[in-house]
Amino acid sequence: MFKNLLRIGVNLSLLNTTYVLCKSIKDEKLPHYHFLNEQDLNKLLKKHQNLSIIDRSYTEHILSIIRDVETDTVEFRKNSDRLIRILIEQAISQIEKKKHIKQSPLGYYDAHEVKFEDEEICFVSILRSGNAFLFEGLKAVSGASIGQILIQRNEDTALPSYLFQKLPANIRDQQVILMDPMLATGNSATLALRILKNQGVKQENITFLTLVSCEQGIEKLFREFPKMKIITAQVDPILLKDFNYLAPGIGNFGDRYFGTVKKSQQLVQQQ
Amino acid sequence: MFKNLTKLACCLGLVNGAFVVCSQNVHSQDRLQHYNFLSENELHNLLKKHENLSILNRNQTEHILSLMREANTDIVSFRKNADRLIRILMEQALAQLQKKNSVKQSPLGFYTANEVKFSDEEICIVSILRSGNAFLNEGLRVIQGASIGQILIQRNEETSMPKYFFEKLPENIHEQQIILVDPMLGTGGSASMALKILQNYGVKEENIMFLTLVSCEQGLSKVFKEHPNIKIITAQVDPILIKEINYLAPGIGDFGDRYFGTVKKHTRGLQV
Repeated sequence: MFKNLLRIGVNLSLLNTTYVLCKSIKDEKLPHYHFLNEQDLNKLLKKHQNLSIIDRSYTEHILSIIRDVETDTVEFRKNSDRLIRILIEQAISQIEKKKHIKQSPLGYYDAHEVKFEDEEICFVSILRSGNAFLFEGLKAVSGASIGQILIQRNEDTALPSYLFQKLPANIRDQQVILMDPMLATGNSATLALRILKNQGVKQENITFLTLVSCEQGIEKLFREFPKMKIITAQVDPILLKDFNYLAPGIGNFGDRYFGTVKKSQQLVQQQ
Repeated sequence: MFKNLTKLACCLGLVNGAFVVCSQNVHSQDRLQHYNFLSENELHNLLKKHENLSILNRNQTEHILSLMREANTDIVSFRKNADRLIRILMEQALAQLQKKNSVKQSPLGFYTANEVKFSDEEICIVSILRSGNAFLNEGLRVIQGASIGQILIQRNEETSMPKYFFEKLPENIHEQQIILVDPMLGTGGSASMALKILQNYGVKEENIMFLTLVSCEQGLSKVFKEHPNIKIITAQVDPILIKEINYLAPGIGDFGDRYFGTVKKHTRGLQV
């Protein structure tokens, strides 16, 4: 009996060691990505005058939760909404202001307000992920008009194809806030911007909001549209060439926000 | 007939003259003062003087405050803009809380996560009733699991001295991170009283952040003198505290009445 127990003991420990080895091999396959440091970010800001990156202290704790693969849909949506609200308030604070004198209950003061009415602002969302911005957008600017452009990335070529648009008739007269959570190659955004240009919208009147971006995407946009503004919450260090996904990134924002892919499939589905 | 017409014209002229003179007198009686905001220099000096003071960037707040300050702004617009500003203040408060590093996994790889060190339940929003309650709406949207403490302090109409009425605070408040909220910081009397109550419960100053929409130098100095280790975050610092009535100028008027809709619009200008 003692021999049998010994055999069982040895087998169990062998199994355990194998398990630990296998687990550590699997974990070591995934790289650890390091964020850009203050210097790199400063260089980027100097290079592109019309680029704004939201202060790290506002965004890193929120993005840490959004990036985490374990985060469930409720937490993902809640934190995305918080971050989107911060981006939208920043976009509005950068819109042209006008001065005049107004009266408070106690006296007059110099009022400094956004020059445009709610209705003169247009949120243009690049479907489907861009729609996530509309919930918080309408909370901040309840009277804004909404434009929609459907662009989907072709699975094989990774090139964007245009499918549909619905924009206000007078969009050339409006202040446009274009929205898409991720800015990777910049191909989809470029296509959307060309569509806006065709409709007569001037570059200076466009602000592009994005949660996570990368240097390549930012450069591509500014090269073709140097006068527009871009506001991003964080700039990721890497764009993975094979999948054209940002790293560490957020994964597929649309799937995670709209809950169209189960959590367990997220790691497997690299596209 | 000509004489009569002349008499009529003279009388009309006199009546008109009297009207013009009278209306001028009425306007000169309610000729209100024009208040100028503090310059960048003055704000800088204030920030240097008080290390633990944060003033939100002007860009983010002036267009929202301009709408709130205006006497004619209706209640829906006032609430909406107050909520927007309160949300910006709350995000700033969270950005300043202590953070901790850890390694987490995104769908594509590992990254260094920097999260707020405290869970929702370890944060307590303490509101100075009644106006402070306006912060709870947006506060709970940002920190859903936070506990809420309440302290009722009302200002005596004649003496302008704060009077304590009531409090309800979590039992373990001495272990929590406190976000104390009150929309206006005038004399600093109410805030000071609330802070002393928190101290009696064993809360350490370093764990307290005080959020306020509009403040003034006197209030800030008073609070920092008595509690130098707390943090204060304000959206804007007004230039004047009117002594007789202890109201900020240009100010917002009575925030509580305007947010909760307890005073009609046309009486707002009179009721000081």
